[in-house]
Amino acid sequence: MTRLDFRRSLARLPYETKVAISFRMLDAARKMRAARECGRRDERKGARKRPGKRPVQGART
Amino acid sequence: MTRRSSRPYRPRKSDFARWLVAETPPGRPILAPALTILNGLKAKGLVVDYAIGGGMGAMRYTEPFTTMDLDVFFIPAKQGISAGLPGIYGELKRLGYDSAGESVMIEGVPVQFLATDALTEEAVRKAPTVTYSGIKTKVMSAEHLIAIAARAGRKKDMVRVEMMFNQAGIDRRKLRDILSRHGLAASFKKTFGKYS
Repeated sequence: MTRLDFRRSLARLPYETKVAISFRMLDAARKMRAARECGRRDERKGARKRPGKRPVQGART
Repeated sequence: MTRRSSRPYRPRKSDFARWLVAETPPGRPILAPALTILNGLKAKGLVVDYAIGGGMGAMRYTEPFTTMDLDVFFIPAKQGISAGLPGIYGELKRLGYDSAGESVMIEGVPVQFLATDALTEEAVRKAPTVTYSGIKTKVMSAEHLIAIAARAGRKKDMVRVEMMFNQAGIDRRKLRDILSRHGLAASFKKTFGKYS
């Protein structure tokens, strides 16, 4: 199975399933972005926040 | 893209796409509440007709991808600059759904209402009726979605057009007809020459 075949097989999934997958992908992308932002240096506090902690409100990350 | 696509597909343990397919419950009706409300708006005469377009519409013909909201193109019941939007938003507010930015959040789904112009009105009128978890709705045809995406011309639209050509059976004669009637043939040929 080539990569294109696999992508075409995804296109043949029921519409309901594809919508559900899309929302899960969006959710996963949001979580990844939030985790990445938590790991960045917080300019206001001057210290790197621990992963898993929420970013400081208003901080430029 | 062709070179990448012709590579053999070797799923890995951490394969995100396969994990998503395996982990997503089949047929989870995320859009069902929103579609019920949209059909209610049509029944009450607040819109003449509506159809799903944008990313969520394109996904009927392609593999799943991330999209921010449900784009609903509607033929307004009232002509004028507001296109009957205050009535629609008022009804949604009465049902307990407030607007958030450009869209209205209906049971976790951001729905954006877009009044039709000549091209999108034709797309709404000719959209095939589909059943989503037992609810009847309309999703724009792949050819109309391509014409609308080609007109918008953003990078994400170009990617979407490419996906539809690769994964959906496109009626090129129908597409050429739509593009020529709406004066988009030249710009489409310039951007997507290999598909015209």
